[in-house]
Amino acid sequence: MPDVGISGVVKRFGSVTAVAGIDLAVRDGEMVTLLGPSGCGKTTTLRMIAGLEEPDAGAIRIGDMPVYDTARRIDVPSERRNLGMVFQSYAIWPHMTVYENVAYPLRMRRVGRAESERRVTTVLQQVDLDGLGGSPATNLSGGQQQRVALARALVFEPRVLLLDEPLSNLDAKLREHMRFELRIMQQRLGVTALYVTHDQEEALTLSDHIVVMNQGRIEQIGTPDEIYEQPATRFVAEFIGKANFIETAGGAQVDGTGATVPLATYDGTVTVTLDAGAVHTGRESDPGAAAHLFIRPEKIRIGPGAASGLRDDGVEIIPGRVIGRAYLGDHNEYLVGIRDGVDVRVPTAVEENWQPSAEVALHVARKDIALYQ
Amino acid sequence: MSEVGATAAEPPVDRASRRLGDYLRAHRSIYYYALAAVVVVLVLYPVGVLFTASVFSGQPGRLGHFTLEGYRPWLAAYDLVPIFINSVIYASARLALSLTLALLFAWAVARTNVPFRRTMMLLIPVPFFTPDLLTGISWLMLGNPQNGLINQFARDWFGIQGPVIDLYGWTGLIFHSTLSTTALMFLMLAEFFYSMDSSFEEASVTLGASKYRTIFTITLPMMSPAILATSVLIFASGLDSFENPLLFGNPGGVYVFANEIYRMLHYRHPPQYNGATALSVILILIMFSLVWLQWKKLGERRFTVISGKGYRPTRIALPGWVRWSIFGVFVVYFMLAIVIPLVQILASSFFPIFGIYNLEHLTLDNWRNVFKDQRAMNGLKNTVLFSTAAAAATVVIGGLIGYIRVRTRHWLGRQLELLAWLPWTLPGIVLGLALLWAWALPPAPFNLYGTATVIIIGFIVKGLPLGTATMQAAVHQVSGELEESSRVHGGRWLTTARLILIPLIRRGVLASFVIVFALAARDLTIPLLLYRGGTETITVALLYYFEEGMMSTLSVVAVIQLALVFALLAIERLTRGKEEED
Ligand SMILES: Nc1ncnc2c1ncn2[C@@H]1O[C@H](COP(=O)(O)OP(=O)(O)OP(=O)(O)O)[C@@H](O)[C@H]1O
Ligand SMILES: [Mg+2]
Repeated sequence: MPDVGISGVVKRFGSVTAVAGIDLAVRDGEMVTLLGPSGCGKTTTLRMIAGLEEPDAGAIRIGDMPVYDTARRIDVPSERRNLGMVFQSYAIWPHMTVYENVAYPLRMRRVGRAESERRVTTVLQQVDLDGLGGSPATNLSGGQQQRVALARALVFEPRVLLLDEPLSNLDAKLREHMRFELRIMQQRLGVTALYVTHDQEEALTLSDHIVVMNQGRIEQIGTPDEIYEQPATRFVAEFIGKANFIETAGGAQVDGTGATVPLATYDGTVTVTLDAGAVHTGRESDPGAAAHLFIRPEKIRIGPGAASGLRDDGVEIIPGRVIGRAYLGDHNEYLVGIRDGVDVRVPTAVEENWQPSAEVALHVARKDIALYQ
Repeated sequence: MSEVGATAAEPPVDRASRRLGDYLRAHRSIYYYALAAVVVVLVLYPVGVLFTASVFSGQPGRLGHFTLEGYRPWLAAYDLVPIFINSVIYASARLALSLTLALLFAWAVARTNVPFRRTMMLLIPVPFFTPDLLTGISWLMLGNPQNGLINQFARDWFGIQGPVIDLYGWTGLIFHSTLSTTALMFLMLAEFFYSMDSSFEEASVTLGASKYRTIFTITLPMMSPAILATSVLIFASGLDSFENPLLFGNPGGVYVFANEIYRMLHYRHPPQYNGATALSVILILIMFSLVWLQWKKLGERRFTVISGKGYRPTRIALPGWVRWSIFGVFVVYFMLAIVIPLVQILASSFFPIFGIYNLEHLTLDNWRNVFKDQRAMNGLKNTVLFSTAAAAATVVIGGLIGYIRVRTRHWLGRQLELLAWLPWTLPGIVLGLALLWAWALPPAPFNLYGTATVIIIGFIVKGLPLGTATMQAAVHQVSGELEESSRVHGGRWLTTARLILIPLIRRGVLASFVIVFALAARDLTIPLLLYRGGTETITVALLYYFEEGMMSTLSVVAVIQLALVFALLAIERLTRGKEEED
């Protein structure tokens, strides 16, 4: 049974539609990330689940308890939704000690003194803060504050943990470290977690499922590798990882079984055939718009010669000319032109060496090509 | 489904309160409307009654019949013009002088290396907290043309016959009102100078402009919206001032709005309620259009009272003689505003006859007598009681208004904020008169005429603008996430307010309380118009002693009241100082 269910939720701020009707189901014990560019409505979604923002329409359920429902006029207040939350600013209360901060949720639940002390001590150990209980919360470093916020959100064993960019205030090193810690702790405790971030790397390493949002809508929900390997929309393909988009020459033929795409190159037209699974017609696609072939840079290999066409082993060979090279330490990145004004980026091993303007062949497995219209 | 017991781990709430709570939460704006109703009754209702009463013939308690008689002398212009001109001269002169001083002080303290900055910061605002009535009387004891101590001294020691100093009329009026106004302006402006980004000034100096040119080309222009806004507010409040026109203007024959209204009520028989009320309405309209014009032109600009926050702007290094000259100006200001009147009044409290300060006559009799004086003791008690009640109520009302304004998107927030500012355009004497009308009108249980309650209400209304601004700034400084974090983790609204918000804004609460308390304790006009036997405040008693020439009693009472004010300020400072250390 999904532990958090959101259906048809809409939120407007004046004329801005922050969340434009989303449906989402989060399964028990999973870590789900809301990922998307700034202003796409991630925080608003999280705050509506927490009861800090009232939706204009829709329903939200936590476990089997409806916490919000416009139709049934249900709106359970924040404090009775029994959630743990880590705010972006951590929201550590500066007038309290670490211990008092962490014990607060238990105090609100009238947990006995002895029990409360036991739980706080345990959770402080879990976040590596044992011994710091007595110190004023303002004396802590960013990483420590983040752990206090986490401890406070976990101490009362909430059914759901909400995290709003909890790592964004930390420096890069600490961020990477905390990322793993967070994941390990979430798995150990088995708590259902919703995690907001605009950092794709964070989303890919942390999540069971990723929800990619854009302009208040959900673009795709999937496991990290589904999102990376089979982006459902052009937006997702562009937003996650690196992408080469190659404008086709027009005249792509799409039917139920797949697509045949003519691709103009320096050496004439190469026809690429694709399975139905690799053809994506976007929500906002209009028939006149140009179609693009999508290939992840790391899926391309550079080979010698100017051959073209589909090889028997399912590898497409596309002719190209080397334009330039960037040295990036552990690898090189080549810019290869396919025709005037259309080029792709290809990472290669440092040893590989291609001369500028050399004619080369780009090798791509057919399954690694997709079409977005 | 998660293992965690769904209901067991929830914060406990009993059934009945949950149902009521759910209802109120779903209709949260009920609270906002309730608060708005209170504020409307406090602020708008008296003004409405005043406007109505201005076209009626009666007196408080009885409206009488409709008539425009009250407006006749004013609209026929033969009486209004001199008063209007006097008022404008008074308000302008006071503004010009205090603005110059306040700008100099605020700039020097916030942006330069003037010596003893912390002391200056601490002491410049003090005259705002000491009642004008009190320092004014003390100055009159020194500088009235007949038997002012300075004139006596000149006569006895140097044989100079005519008065060497005459504070009656314009001289005293402008001189004395400038002092406390400087303090208020400093309070309003210093924050802007502290928070101004010094990089602009640095850029200018880097580009080769001299430090002094920078002041006029960068610093002042950047400040100018703030300065202008503050000036309008101060100009408006210049029309408000009553004590100074009463003390210095009346004997010199200088009449401005405030003492003219009082004259019509107090020195005419029968009292001219009709004319005074009409004049009050005219004054409200003038002040209101002034403030309204400024808001239209510049957009509103709230000011915050100095929070003592530790900005560290780069300071301009002034050459020695400039630094010390500014410090010198401060010393003179402080001597004139506080030290001289204080020493004088302290001295006269230990001598039986005012002005004969012969050490042989040194006595504690005055002090003994005052503690037996019913009027003085009662006045002190009332002032403490009323001011405390009013300050507490204002902090609550102002806090709620600030909270709604800062934390919610409800449309009432803005309206409430404006409403809280409205009394700024109500001169004390006008407010007193309005309350007199308003609360003498309703039938029995609501007829508060002559009660302590109506005086407290007056103090609340008087304190509302500054009290609300301070509380609003305090709420603003606390991030909303700190409260939300409490809500999510199980704290109900009230619990959150008690455990999170209030502890975090306690300094703002204290500051707001002290300001409203001081405003109430120094106020003369409201109790003067509203008291009946038993509810007179210490300021009313002081005026009585003054008019009866009971200078020894007056001095003792004054010293006690000053001690009270200083004690309050010291408590506030000490709490603040302690906080800054942690
Ligand atoms: N309180 C508010 N008042 C008005 N508009 C708001 C408010 N909160 C959010 N918005 C608007 O709603 C949209 C979504 O905001 P939201 O904070 O949910 O974005 P986000 O995805 O969390 O972005 P970020 O990554 O920058 O935090 C934005 O356009 C924002 O301007
Ligand atoms: Mg956000």
